[in-house]
Parts: sequence; structure tokens; C-alpha cells
Amino acid sequence: MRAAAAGRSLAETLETVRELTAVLQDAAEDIAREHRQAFDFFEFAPQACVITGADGRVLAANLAAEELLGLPRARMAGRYLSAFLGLRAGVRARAMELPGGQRSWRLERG
Amino acid sequence: MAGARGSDWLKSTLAAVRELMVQRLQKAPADPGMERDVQMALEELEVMWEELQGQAELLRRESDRYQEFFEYAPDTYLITDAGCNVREANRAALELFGAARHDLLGHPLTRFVAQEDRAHFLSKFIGLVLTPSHRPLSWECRLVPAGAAKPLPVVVSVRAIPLRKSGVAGLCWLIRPS
Repeated sequence: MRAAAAGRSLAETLETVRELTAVLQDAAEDIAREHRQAFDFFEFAPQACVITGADGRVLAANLAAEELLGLPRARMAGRYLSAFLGLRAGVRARAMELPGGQRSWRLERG
Repeated sequence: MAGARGSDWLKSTLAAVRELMVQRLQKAPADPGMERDVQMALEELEVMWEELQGQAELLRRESDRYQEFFEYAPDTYLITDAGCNVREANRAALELFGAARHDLLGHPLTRFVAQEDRAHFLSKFIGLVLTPSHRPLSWECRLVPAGAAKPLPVVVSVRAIPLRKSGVAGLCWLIRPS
């Protein structure tokens, strides 16, 4: 009888663990959805945008930047933005500092 | 939202469940099969927790980077849904439209377009939603910011945010005075 009661308690505990697992999965989905929204804002901006570290190395570039510079992002990542601005004449850049020493760049055809 | 409850809540609940299980096992030995199941479920939960924390940290850092980028951008950026209702607006947008965030979010963007330009604006918008282009589309129109005495001529550039398979999830707008 004692063992049966303990078994029931454990079954309840197991159920709690399963509920917690579902909560964790929901949390993961929420985080992914928030990230997707923020990413879409950047990725599909009609203007070419690039984020660099304070040292000028590329951290992220959007679709319009790829089109403007004619370069796949994989080739930009981790390299100095200045190297790409020199590749194409007539590309002007405006920079704005973000917290944490990052800089965002808006690229325009001059 | 589960995430909004805070990581501390989840962590302390996890610790409480583990403690509860240990106490119950000490009081009365249970079916070894059941005990093994609980142990495995707890271990799985802990692994998930660790993985989720790592992924969440990475995603949050990236999300913050993108959000800050647009929130403090000198240009006006908006996101609308496929029905042209404003879903996101940055600070520059609030200034341009002379509106508080709650006056923009959820409302149709067309309410700020000059009456004479609305038909043209809507035809461009509908064309983009029905046949999304991979390239941004730009045109000139006049906006009527809240409290403005006369319409403001602007250049609107917009790009569709595609759904994974097909169709449009929303549109990203850049608006500049012309």
C-alpha cells in the first residue's frame, strides 16, 4: 500500500516534469518568434544595412546590402566593411553608433 | 508567454520538483521502472534547460542588435501586415507621423496618406501583396501627419517580407521626405 502511494506520487511528479518540459518548449518557440520578427525588420528593409563591430568588421548585412554590393553575406562576415565599400564606386555610407560599441551603416548609391 | 515569467521561476520550479522527488523516494521506495522514468525525464529537462539558455542568449543578443538598429535609425521604418495595418514603428516614424505609438500600431497606414493619393497608394500596395517582388518598390506620395497643416511629400520604399512557402507575411516600409 505504501509502495502504491509512492508510485502515485512519483506519477504526479513525472506529470509535473512533463508539464515543465512543455513550458520550456513554449519558451523556446516564443524566443524564436521574437527573433524572427526582429530579423525580418532588418533583413527585408528596403535600404542596404550593415552592422559592424566598433573595429569595422561586419557582423550582419541585409538582403539589400547584398544586392547593392553584389556580394554574398558569407563573404562579408568578419571582414572590414571598408574593403567592400571600395569595391563599388558611388556607394556612400552613413554610420550610427549602437550601444555596446557596434555601428550600424546605411549604404546608399551616391 | 512562458519566457516572460522569467528564467528564475523555471529554474526554481525545476529544483523544487527534483527535491520533491528525492523526498518521496526516501520515504518509500517505488517501482524501479517509474523511478527510472522520473529520473530520465528530469535529466532530459535539465539538458533542455541548458540548451535553451544558450540558444536564448544568442538569439536575444541578435534580436537586440536588430531592434536597436531600427529603433534609433534616423530614417522612418514601419512594418505592416498584409492588410496594411501598422505592426511596428520606430522612433523616427512616431516623429514623422506626429503620433504616439498606440495611435499607429494596429491602424491602417493609409489613414496617414493624403486623400488624393490613396487610390494610387493602395494599387501599389495591393500589387505588391498579390505579386511580391524580390526588389524594393518606391513611389512618391503625400502623407498627412497628425496635426499637420498641409500634406508632406515623401518617397515610400517598401519590400515584402515573404512567408516561408509562399505569400506575404508583411511589408517593411522606409519613408523619407522628398
